Amino acid sequence: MYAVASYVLKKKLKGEKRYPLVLMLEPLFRCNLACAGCGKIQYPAHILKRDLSPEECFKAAEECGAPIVSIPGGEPLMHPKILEITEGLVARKKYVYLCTNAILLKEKLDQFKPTKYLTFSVHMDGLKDDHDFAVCREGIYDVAVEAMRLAISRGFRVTSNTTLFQGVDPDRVRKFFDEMTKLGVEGMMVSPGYSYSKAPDQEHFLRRTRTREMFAQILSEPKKSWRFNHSPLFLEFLMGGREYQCTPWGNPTYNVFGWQKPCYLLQDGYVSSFEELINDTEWDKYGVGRNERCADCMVHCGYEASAMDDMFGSVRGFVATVRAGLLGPRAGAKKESA
Amino acid sequence: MSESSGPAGDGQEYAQGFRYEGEDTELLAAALDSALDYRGDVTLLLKDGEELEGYVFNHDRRADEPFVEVMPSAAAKARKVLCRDLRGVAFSGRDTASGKSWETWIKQYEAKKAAEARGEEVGSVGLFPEPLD
Repeated sequence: MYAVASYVLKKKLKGEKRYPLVLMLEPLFRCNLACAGCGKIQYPAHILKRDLSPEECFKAAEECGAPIVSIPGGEPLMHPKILEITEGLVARKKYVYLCTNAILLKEKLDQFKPTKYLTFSVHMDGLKDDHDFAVCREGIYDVAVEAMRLAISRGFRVTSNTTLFQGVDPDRVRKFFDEMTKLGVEGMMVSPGYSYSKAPDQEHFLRRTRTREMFAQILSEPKKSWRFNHSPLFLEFLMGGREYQCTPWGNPTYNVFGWQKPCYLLQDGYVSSFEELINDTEWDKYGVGRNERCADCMVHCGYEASAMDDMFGSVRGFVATVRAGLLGPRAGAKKESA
Repeated sequence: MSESSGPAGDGQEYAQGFRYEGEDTELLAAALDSALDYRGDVTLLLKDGEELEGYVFNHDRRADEPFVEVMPSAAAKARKVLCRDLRGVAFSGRDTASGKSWETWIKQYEAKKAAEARGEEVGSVGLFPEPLD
């Protein structure tokens, strides 16, 4: 937290308007699951076979300069050089979140060494039945829990990362948070799903008003034992307690095609350098009220950076963070029309 | 002369089998925009007779020289092709999301539950990724 805070404050003092917080590094698109709601793996075989080299990954991390590197995919543990990539980023003092479905985690765990710079962020979409249903494969929850337990017992940092779709039961989500807490995860991440244009499923994504109602139900009166890997202001945003505009440059994305415009979720083309991404993207074309594809998006890759900017950008934001941290996040009182 | 053919075209949904060939730059640009969103390979038809199959990941129609970038299915490096060098595009590859819809999964899941309710033994069910070979 200190590293991120000092990084954001330095950027603010320098007066940089657009700075990255988390590099989304996709070293491959192959996956061992085929979740219907995922828009990241729908490519022909010759694309799925391609990998970023460790050198390409390091160059992207250095070019971008973000203190945190999230490695999603695809399934990063399927990358033949994921250990080299991870170790190289850790050597550069990047906080690495290796985002995995944990199917291969138990098998690969021996290769990794625990360090404060490495966190396994495990994709878990709910209790056993809910998770297996969401990832369109039976038995995956049990495999993931076993691997998470092993990783925690060996001293690794482990978090859960949950995507919620239409029709989830808030009470079951709360029970799931209890389960993850009991398992010993360091923090939980949660976000509404995004309706990727390339995802096979286009029907079960949450609309903005419903998202807020659902998160207000899930996160109101949070248990003291729950730990979220989010800023309290982002949780308040999900619950409708505050408004933010998207910060798409906060989580720039690099993959086998280059730097993705404009964000992790939309694919409006690619450029070859981070500088081009920041300077040449027409940022004003994106965000709520500016682009219909952004209308229902409340995903952390767009809004956690907005919340962080608010937290460190004003005394009011800082005080609100302290208040939300001590008393719990507040839901919104405002009702919106659907 | 312009020619569109296949299961869709001219403002409808672009799908495997769609092909546009002709001199209407607007129709070609619209087809290339859709190629950018397409979840399979397309074949770029070049004016010099070359047919380049691959995955389109860039289409900049507002550049000084509008272009597409394609990751060829038979080469390691991406290739940039100027739109003025194109005579058409064909949606030649399979839509890789086909058969992996939520509905497909629900159907499998419900069939399994029904079979279990009848006392039948059923293995685990699920959707699986694209084969790589």
